Amino acid sequence: MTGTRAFATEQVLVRAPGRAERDPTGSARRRAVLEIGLATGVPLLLLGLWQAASGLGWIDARLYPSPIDIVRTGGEMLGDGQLWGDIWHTTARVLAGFAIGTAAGILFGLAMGSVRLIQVALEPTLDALYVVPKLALLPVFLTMFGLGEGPKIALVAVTVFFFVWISTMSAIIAVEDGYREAGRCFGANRWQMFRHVLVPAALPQMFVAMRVAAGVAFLVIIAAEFIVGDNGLGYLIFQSRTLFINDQMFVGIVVVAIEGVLFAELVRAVGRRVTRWAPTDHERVRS
Amino acid sequence: MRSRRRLSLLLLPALSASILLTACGGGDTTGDEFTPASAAPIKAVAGCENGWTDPADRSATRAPARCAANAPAPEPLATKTKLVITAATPKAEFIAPIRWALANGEFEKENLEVELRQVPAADGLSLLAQGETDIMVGSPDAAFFNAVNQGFGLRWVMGNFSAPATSKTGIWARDVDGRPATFADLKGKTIASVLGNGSPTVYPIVQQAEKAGLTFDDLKFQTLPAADVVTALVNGGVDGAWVLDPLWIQLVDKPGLTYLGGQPAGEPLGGVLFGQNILGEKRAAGVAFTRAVVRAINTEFAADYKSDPAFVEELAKVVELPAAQLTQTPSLVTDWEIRSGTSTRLQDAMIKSGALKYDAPMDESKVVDRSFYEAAVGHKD
Repeated sequence: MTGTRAFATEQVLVRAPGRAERDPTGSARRRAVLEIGLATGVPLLLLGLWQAASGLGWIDARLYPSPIDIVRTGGEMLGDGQLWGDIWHTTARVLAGFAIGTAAGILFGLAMGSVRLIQVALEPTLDALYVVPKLALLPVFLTMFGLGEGPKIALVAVTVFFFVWISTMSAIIAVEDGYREAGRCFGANRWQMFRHVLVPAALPQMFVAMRVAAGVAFLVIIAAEFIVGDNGLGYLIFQSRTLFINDQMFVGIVVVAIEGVLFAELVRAVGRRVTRWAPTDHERVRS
Repeated sequence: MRSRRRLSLLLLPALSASILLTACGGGDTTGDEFTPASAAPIKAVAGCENGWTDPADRSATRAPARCAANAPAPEPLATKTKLVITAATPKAEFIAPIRWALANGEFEKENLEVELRQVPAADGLSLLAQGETDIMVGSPDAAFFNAVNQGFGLRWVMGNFSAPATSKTGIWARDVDGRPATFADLKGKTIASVLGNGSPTVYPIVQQAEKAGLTFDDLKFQTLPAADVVTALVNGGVDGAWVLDPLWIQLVDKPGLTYLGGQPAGEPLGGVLFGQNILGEKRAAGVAFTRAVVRAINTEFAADYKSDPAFVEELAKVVELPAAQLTQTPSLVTDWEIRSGTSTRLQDAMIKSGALKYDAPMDESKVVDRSFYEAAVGHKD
């Protein structure tokens, strides 16, 4: 433990090194153990409480099935192939919508962040569209694209687009003058400035936006599948609720949560690989 | 300090594991049988001498049970009792007798305080199953049957209406090669519906499919919002659709569309569901509620109630629908009785549609309770 002692007569301040300074390796290991313990222990504790509440009759297991029952039902649904189809439909819609929305968002964000006139021309319109609840657009997309996959993919794409567009544009605009100055000193032309200065500086923030959009994409597709269609995880949740088959409903909810986390982590991993120069989340927090 | 932290770290998973182990041995309430309270003896009721029909009679020409106007007379409960009702669509004609009774003090005459709340059907059933509410106005759908099968105290206690002969709510299909469509033409085609495969409408659909030599699996269903069902059918987005009241009016004179049939004549497929509260300690209140609704039907909804424009105006205010919309469709044939075997046929169709979690229909005695309306009209078998 770090400590200080003040000697009144001599006015000398003595600081003893703390444990972390005397044994940095051990300290880092203990820190890692603590973090892993908390990361696994808290969810385990919550699951344990849920299981206990359900098993001991504190809550009605027919309305709130226990985690073990949910896993068992999920296993059965995977076994008979029912769940795979729904996972596939939802995942395909999210991936397609995410790809389109991200591509369009990056394109518009880069263009509007780099060229002032494009920004002035498009920003008011996009700002107005941004505040429209995306789910309210579903009937419009139904009319435009019919009953197939089009409306749902379009809904995800539009939702993702706005997250990525705003972050990309603001990231480009916010690139520090020092970076631009350095580029100019090296004689970078407009394209080189864009390619080697602006985009690398903005990429970390763009990936943060994509990570957020990845989660929101699942929220939107689940809501859309509630309303229209006859497959997908949203339909599974809604239909199970409608039919009072609560264990299947919880299977759907858990699978959506897992998929959402996995997809967001995938985007984070890709971002980490593509933007090696950016600090990781842990580094940001510690600094 | 350090040792305390280490202890906490060890404790978290250990505590979780111990809870998990404890919980694994816990009881499972699924499948417990619910036993309703026993009914009081039934006594004769003035004005209701013809207030019942044989439940086995499913003929299309059967006249529904009726008492005299203002019968059965109120029998106020000794103490005021509050009942909470839920309905997914309170602004609908099929719920009119209940809303009429509410607006005209029929429940107060029974010393009941009735509160009607709008709640989506799935949530309404969940609340009813938990005993948070007392009554649900809707239909014995797959959720109801699945809940009863899981041991929840729920019963279908009252019918609502039979479709009038002139009604064209039901399956509509796009004509094929210039000739009127038949049900067989829907094989492999998409049918749009607001209601899913757990709705009572699967019963007439399965019935008609089997008559046409098809199975439920030969049909593809697409769930759509009500407003989009008609649009999708007219635009060719789907080949068939289950069209609700009063949307079918838009299709009657449209070329290229054929009405293939709807709810079986003389057989109500919806009505009132009671939960564990009324089936248990509030049984007398359940009889009083039923009596008030039956009285409202006999007084105002006994025949063609839409033939009187003044009544339609009043009704429109009560159900909060435009009078012009009410007059678009014929009067419903209000019918509080439940036909014998309807619950079995509904379950059979829902098993075929994959909506039920079990494989053989439950016995009628586990899902239907006629004793409330039998007590209200004084009928003894």
